Amino acid sequence: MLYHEHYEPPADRWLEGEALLTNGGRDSVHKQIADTAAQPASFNYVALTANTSAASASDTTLAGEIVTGGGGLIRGQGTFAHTNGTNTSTITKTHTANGSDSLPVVVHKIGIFNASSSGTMGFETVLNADATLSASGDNLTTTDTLTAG
Amino acid sequence: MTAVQVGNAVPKMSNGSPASHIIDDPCDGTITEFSMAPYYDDAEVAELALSTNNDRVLSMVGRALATEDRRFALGVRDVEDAWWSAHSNDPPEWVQSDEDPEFARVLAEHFSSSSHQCAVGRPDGWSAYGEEGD
Repeated sequence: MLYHEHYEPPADRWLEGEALLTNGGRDSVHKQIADTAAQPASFNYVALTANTSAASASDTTLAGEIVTGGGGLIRGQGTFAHTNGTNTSTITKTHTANGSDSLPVVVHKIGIFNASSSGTMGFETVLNADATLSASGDNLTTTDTLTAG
Repeated sequence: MTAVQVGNAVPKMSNGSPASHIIDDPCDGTITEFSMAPYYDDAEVAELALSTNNDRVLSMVGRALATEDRRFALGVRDVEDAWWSAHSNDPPEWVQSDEDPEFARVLAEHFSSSSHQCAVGRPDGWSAYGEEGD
């Protein structure tokens, strides 16, 4: 079994949200495990959006993804971690708003991609509490946990 | 990509319960391996993030770091977040990074306290669960 969950502790709270393995992500995982041809890239780029629509397995893009040129809230590579002998790995990303970002923004959902632009969105997660970033320097740390086995 | 190895004596599974098959094993524990994000030692972004206090945890990390180590604030924040959320129920036993020994030292200091000493460097005989020598 392979599923995905979300963890986000901004400030002093532990927040969890229900994450979704997309259809495209599922295909990529199978190819990464066993394909004899060139395998898809790893999913470790985290994107943010204020869009409030529900997550869907059929989504191939993150609606309303923040793509402000030069901004600190754009898609970026996170920190990967795995504990040997366990069934989980994590992708953690700290986004820091800067002067180029359009603020305030209320982050509602994140997507995990396998490229810095375009690529495949493997996971989509609605945060169970919105995160408001109001000023340059405000930051948001998210950890997504991937469970397999 | 900077790799960091962390000694994990009390790993946990996806449901948050202790990984008893590892903890009950005669070996010391296992190893959690991190591949750090590119910004983990970015001094400019770290100072920007530390200029506000919207994230209480990051603010505490920043206050505890020596001035010369503040560039690692976001890297420490990422490891702190991942560690407690999904990897362990106890502070790390040791930290090692061949690529960035300074970051390993900062992490070890971060996870040390009056009641727990996190060492720098992988002790002899400590291997990942399932690895030869385990």
